[in-house]
Amino acid sequence: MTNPTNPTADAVHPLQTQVELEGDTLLINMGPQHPSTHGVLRIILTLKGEEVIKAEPVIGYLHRGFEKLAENLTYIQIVPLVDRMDYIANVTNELAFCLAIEKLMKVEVPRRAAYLRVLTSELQRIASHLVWLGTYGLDLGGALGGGTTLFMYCFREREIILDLFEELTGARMMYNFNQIGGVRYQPPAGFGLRVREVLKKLDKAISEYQDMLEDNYVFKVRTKDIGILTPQLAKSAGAEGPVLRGSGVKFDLRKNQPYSGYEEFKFDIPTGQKGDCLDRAKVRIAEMKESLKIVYQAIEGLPEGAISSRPSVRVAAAVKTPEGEVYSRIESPRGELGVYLVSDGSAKPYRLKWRAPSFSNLSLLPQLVAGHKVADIMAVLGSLDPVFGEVDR
Amino acid sequence: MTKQELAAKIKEKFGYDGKVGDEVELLVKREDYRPLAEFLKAEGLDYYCFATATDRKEKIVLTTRIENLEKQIAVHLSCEVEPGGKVRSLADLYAGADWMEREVFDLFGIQFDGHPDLKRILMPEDYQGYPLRKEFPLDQPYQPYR
Amino acid sequence: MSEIVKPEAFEKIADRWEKFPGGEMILTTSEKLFSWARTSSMWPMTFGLACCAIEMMATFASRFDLDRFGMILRGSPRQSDLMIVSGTVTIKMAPRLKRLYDQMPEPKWVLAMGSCAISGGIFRNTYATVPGVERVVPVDVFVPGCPPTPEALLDGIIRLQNVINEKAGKK
Repeated sequence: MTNPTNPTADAVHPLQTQVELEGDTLLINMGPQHPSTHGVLRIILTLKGEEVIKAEPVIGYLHRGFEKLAENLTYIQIVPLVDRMDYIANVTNELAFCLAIEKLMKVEVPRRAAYLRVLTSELQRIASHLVWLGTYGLDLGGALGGGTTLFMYCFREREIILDLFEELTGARMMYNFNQIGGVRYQPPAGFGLRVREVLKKLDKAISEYQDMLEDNYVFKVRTKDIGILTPQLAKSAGAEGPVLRGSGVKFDLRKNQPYSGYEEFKFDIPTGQKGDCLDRAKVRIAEMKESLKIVYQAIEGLPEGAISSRPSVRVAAAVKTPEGEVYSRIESPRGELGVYLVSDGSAKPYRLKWRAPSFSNLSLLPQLVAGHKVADIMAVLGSLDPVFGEVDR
Repeated sequence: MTKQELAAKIKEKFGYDGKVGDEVELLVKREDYRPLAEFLKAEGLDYYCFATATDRKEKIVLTTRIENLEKQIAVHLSCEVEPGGKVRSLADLYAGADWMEREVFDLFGIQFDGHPDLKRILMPEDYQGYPLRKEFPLDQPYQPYR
Repeated sequence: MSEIVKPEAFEKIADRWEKFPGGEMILTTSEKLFSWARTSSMWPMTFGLACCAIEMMATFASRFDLDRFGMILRGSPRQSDLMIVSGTVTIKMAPRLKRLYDQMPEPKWVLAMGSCAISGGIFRNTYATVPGVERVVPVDVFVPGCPPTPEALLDGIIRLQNVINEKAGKK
């Protein structure tokens, strides 16, 4: 790329990419800062007019060195650190980590703790899908145009869920709720009543969004037949969750490999047919409704008993795991969240690998976007729902 | 096909004894890594979960997890590589191997033969060093930018 | 004039305020008038990096509305005068942050939101984190928290407005 003011300057600035251009294609940078609120993603686009020839995502702008940091902290200290990975669905991160350690140490979790874990995970799933829906409206509609409507509605509903969490744990976002052996906080008096009120409000609101979006002509034009994903490509890339279910594969870790008491709950698994953005959107909205059912069953049947089988640990080095390796996974709102833990018998992990669902989902972006127009990139990116705390760790 | 049957087939064809627990764990030689992955894909294990590495001081153990979701059969394929060594890439078999192997190269320094575009993915392009190796320090002083 | 604007605003910026039959008059300096205009309509640039960005979005959303403070999120740095750095600054992102800061026109302010922007936060001791955004750009207001609640961010913004007004009043 020649510098127009000084054509003899051949030195390449480290921020430039060297690519051979041919014909009349245009190389454009969709930089780490852009108005879509998904986070720090850079896409290097090769365009021919308005059509995308090649889209290359560049990630790593939020790489904070979590896996190396985890090798120097004890297990108790890693639990609040893990909250900050997928920062939209916090409780599921802690749940994945605690389940991995409990599997390695063979610790039993009391039934009341399992029900509380299911309750908070499903409420968190609804909150996470509401953030997805709000920002999807923002991406498709524009920040000052019609998109802000859906954003304001969804965040209003999310606030009432966060009020419940604040009552239960004391925090709006980074709860630090799960611990090794159970959960940390007891629900206060009257919690069940307030959960039922919130469920009624959410039921009405989600039905309203379903009516508003699924037969909406503009929404369908923006998302129908865009970004079609075949099940073979999804499985080969490691995509799971609403991305895989939108392509028609009826697989959900909560049903096929249940954990933490999910086998006692009755719910359906919504799937799509074609695998375009519209199917993925419909799957997520239907999943919100199913989560409402699970929360209702959890709060109705909450058993009595202890909330943790280990005492609330305040000494940092008190948890020691036996030597070995374990891989344990859960169904996070984005897909399969796995923790691969290699332990050498001490109080700190030897190697902790965080298998993030958004990393595998995002690697599908180049294939899904090729051939579509520039405006469809945000529709596809929104339907893959990446969270960059997870992608970059 | 169950996990035990798959382990028996692998022993018959390649001669490795897999430990069958929740998943089949195999420790193979570097030359058998790619043929075994092709065999597993032909057997129907088409879901690529992750690829990672563990630094065991003298050697780096590369682990890949491949599975079949519906039948719930999973295989952990491990092979030992010396630091700076080369392994044949799986990027043309599985689409997920592309980014996962780039991450292993970025953080550990293992080269992958046949990878379409092996460059750093999480660290800046001109970064020196491989962060997740055990001899790499956790913290480095940062020069003030202004 | 006093139907459109509340009298307290006049008390803040007016050196002298006189009512006489036929109208009102205020006497003030131009710095105070301009800083009143600037603080009442600060336009931030969307610069959400990590978890604090979600709380920033919640502050802009329905319950803790920031539009009543005159703040509209602008996507481009050329049209904004406040940069809210929300989230961890990594070594890969730091040159881009400096470049975006340079692209903003004067007068501009920076608000460091959350522990990671103030000092690196929980990720301070890693090879890839910049320990605080002050190493890259000059910061005016620090809002602590991990993440700070929307009420804390509002407090930080109001403090920034007071700082700007006081600086103008001293001249």
